[in-house]
Amino acid sequence: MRSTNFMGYRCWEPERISEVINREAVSVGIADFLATHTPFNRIAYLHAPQAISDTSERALLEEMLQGAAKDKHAFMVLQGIPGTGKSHLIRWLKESYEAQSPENEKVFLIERAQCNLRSTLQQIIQSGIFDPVTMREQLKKLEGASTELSKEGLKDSILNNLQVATLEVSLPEGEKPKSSRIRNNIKRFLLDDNIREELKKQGGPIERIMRFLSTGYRAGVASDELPGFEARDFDFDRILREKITRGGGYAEVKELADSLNLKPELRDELARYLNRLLNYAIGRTTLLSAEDLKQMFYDLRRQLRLQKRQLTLFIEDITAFTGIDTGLVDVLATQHTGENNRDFCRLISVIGITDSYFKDRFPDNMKERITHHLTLNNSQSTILESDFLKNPEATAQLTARYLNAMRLKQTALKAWSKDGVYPERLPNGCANCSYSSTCHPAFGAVETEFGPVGLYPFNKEAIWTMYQRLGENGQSSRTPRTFLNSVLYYVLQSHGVKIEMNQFPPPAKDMGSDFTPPSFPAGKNLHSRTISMQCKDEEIAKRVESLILFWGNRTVDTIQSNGQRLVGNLPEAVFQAFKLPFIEGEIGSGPRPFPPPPPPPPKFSIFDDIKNWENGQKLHNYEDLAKFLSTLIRSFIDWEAHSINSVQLNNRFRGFRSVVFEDQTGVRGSDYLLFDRSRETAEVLYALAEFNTGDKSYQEGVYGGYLATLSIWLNKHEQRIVEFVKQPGKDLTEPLPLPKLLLLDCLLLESLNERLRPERHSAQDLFLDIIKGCKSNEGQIQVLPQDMAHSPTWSSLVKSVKSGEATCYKHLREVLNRAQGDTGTVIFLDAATALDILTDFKQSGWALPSITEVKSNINVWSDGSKVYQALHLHFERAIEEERVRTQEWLTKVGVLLGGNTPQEVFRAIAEMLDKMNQHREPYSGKFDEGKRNLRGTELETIRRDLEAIQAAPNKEQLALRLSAATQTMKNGQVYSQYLEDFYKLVCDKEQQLANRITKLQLEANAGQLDVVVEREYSALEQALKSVVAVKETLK
Amino acid sequence: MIVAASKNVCDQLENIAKLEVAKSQIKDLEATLDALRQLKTYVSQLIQFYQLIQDRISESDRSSLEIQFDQILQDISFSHKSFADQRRQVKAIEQAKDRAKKLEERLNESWKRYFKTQTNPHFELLDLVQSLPEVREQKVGLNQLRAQLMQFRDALPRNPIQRANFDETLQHLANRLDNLNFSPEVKTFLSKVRSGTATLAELNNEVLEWCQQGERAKGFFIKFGN
Repeated sequence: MRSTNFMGYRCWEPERISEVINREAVSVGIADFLATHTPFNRIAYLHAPQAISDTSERALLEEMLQGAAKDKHAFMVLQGIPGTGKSHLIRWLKESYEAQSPENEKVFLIERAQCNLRSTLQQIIQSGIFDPVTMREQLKKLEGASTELSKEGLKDSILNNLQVATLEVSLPEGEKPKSSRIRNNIKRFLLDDNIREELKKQGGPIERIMRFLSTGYRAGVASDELPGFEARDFDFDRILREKITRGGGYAEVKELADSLNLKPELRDELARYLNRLLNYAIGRTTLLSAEDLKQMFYDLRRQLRLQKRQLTLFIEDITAFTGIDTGLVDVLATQHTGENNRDFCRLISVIGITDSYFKDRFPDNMKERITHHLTLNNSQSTILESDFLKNPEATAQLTARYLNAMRLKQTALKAWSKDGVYPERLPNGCANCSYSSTCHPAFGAVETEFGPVGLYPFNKEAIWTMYQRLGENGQSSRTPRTFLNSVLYYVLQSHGVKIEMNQFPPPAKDMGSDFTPPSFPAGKNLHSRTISMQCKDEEIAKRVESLILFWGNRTVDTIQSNGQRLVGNLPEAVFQAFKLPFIEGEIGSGPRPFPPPPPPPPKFSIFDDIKNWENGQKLHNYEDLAKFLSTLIRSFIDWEAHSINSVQLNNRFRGFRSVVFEDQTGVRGSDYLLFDRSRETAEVLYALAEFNTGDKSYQEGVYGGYLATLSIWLNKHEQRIVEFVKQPGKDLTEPLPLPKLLLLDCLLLESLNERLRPERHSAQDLFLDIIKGCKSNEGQIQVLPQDMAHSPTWSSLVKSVKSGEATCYKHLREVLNRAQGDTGTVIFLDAATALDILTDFKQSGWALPSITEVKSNINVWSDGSKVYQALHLHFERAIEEERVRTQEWLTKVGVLLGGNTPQEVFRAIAEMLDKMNQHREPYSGKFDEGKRNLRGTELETIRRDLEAIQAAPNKEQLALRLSAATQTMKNGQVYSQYLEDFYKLVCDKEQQLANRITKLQLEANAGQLDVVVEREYSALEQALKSVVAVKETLK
Repeated sequence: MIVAASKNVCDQLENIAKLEVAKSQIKDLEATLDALRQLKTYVSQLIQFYQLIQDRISESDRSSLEIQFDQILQDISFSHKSFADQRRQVKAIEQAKDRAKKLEERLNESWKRYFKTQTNPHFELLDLVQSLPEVREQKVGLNQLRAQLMQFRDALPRNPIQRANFDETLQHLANRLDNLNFSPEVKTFLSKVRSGTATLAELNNEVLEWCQQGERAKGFFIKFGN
């Protein structure tokens, strides 16, 4: 099993994505189509000839087949918002029906065909449905229409024919325009050059109709777009209106254009009126009217009847027939029974219709002739939504089938398709995958007729979250089509290949273009930061966050479940699959493994070895002897007297490596203390070997002799040894005494760690704070985002000292430790030395003496000097920059407050937000912070604190005040950001509202109607009073 | 900066709310204006009619009509006041219009009464004399004048010209009848003859002399009374 290596694995070929997911159901290969087909089990019947208990697609198919067997006419309308799966269901019905229908049944599918009428007509011509011999005339007419649609000047033809339609078409009373403005002026209006250019412009109504009619417009119309006029097409801009006014055109045109500008309802009425004339105009343009098409299909039905054949028509989208659609609907509704219709063949038809078409275009008198009226919309939802993907399980089912098809080669699916399309025999891409045992428990799998299908690289939560967040921006609805295109297709096509490059999932904001990323729920907002802290790399942190937000439960809470740890409800395998670190989450890490046991001690024979070495041979037991000698050196020299601390000593005499004997057999490092071959050294080694390996029952004289030998030898070599220990490394000199170096490092680190206070500025206070910092073992500086709390130099300084910080804190206490008496077990801190160093530093005005960086392999020196070097170079600049930033902050906030007190400003903010709420004016929820948590008094305090920084008299006070003010500065940033954002909101709102007011003023004060009414009242009253006054006078 | 701007936003929001209300009231305003204009035209006509005939009709009629004008004024004033709060006043204006229709009926009735008082004596005399031989030749002309006057009975004069026309026609008829020179006794006699109540006792000298003038004697027959 390969399951342990389930990482960065892609189980589909990228080219399969676009083969399996295609915008149009009818454009997908039959094998892929059937393999991805998910049964529709909840088709809503708005009307049916009898009560329907089984609402599945199978039952619908059965209803059709039974109808065909009983020779029953059926006119089925499948309604739904675009993307609900109408085309998909119609194609499935067609394929299934065709496979099971009798031989004399002619089954024909009219596709949406790039959404243009010409393609639709060509499709009918090429289908062979009209016999070229017996139905030559009909074919000729269709071909003629198709040719007309390919001609130049189609736009003007349509406009001309619309104008003709205004004169010739007699609409029923209820469909005529009520407005006399339209009735009287439309003729001239459609002739005006400016108006014609406006209607013909890119994206305008005529261009849309053109796109629908002609193949010359490749894009066709979007599937949710009905070709025709819309009210917005007559919302002319000022420039056009001025053109019309100045152009010297007809007064009728100006009058109608002005009225359209003032009355939105008039635009709507005009659009509806012209749409009613559109069929006539298109028919006249194509020389093929709805009546012509109706007669053609009647002829076809007669022809089939003569051949004893029946007809079943599947029409993907009736919109594809716009212009001649009423003729087609008439044909479909006409039965084959009754005195006049007996020469027609039986017709069963299923047509796809969008909601808007059914509402606005479908003839009312035909609605009652529909035998089965079905819909795929979700009647429970308040937004436009398909009923198909109503819960996470249904969405996962659909996803699993598509993923499975993508994992399989097309040849495999074609073979299955040829084999009879048995659902239970559909190949399963997961069946032979050796990762499935890891993949399915981690990412989840869906049970299907052909076995469990894994949801990798998604899981149920990710799919549902992405789907549910579709349409949040108000631009797309939630339908199977938008799900397939905007979730499955987009994510796999855009990011699928990143799995192998360890870049999947991408950051949450980049995941999709039509759905918005979720955020951490209330109370878990800090989890983003937890992820950042627990991931070493910012990029990785963003990917982990994306994983948690989409795949997980949008928290990094860690729990134990069935013996495994879950973070954000996700097991380790999910993180591993995308090569992401399995972060600890919100509780502490588990126990660490024990270190491996030390290797067994080597055997040696030492005395002969020393003798041989003394006599010029190699020294074999040099390791033990070096240890013995190191111990001697460490114990017998008074290091304090040489101002050497235990840290230096331990570092220079780590084990035996620092002590090297001339001509020893083993390798030597680069930095060591060499002892030449000599009689004295050999005697010392004898003595040490005897002390360490002998029976220790020495005679007093022997013991004393050994001690004397050691003492003399040490005395001779002490100075050289001390110099060696003081060195940070080979050929290096001590840049500063180590205690001073570390103490100054830690002092400034404490400042960066925000633990110093301006009132605690004496040497004693500073020393106590430093030691407290060492003790608290919090030697970790949080690197905050630059824009939040600190200047770039401060942040970069924090970053550069981070690696050496722990070493400085750890060793400072050690270098200051002194043994009390001879015990070696009781130690105290050498405060006197530290205070001397700090006092000197204070007196120097916090000036760090310059040193060169020590390239030592001893941590305390390398880290300590590196930290020191960084502080020396950048600390002063960092605090100066901080001072500048605080000044900038004060200036910015001062400008934003604009002479008002913070309290006044926050009161105004609260009032405005209340007002916006009251007027249901939308704004981002983040601004409510201004009412809930932000206070004018707090801002006032922050301002005072930051002004104090500006007033700092010297570097020491500046550093101490800045150290104490970090939280204040963070809070300040929150306030200034809030005020800045709020100000932007206010400015944007002012502009938006001003525009709205202008528009509303135009709309609401059109003609100052209220004033006119008042005037009329007064005039009438005056007139009446003239009569009544006469009466009064007479009285 | 923020304080001033946010206050401005608050003001804008209030303004928008008012404008939204105003926008939503456009249709109401249009309906009110339409109804009001119709009523104004109608009432103006009525006032004009009234002013044309007010010095011809009786005091009681005049008083009654002016009360009704006053009631319309009350209706309109009330509607005018309500308009400040409720922009749709079609119902109230329709009520005023109903009242105006009634007023128009009253106006017509008043005019008819006046018409009758003015024309009746002449029409009656015309009925009495048109059978006489000397009137026979003028009969057509006199009846034409009557017919012209009758047109004014059902339609109020619309303007001063029409009214003057009426007056002139009436005067013309009166003059033509006066020119026939019937004494009061003859008129009484003729009246009784027309009603079938004349006896020989009515034939006093003056009447008898008048009957025997010219060919008049042939125009009378004597019958037994019942």
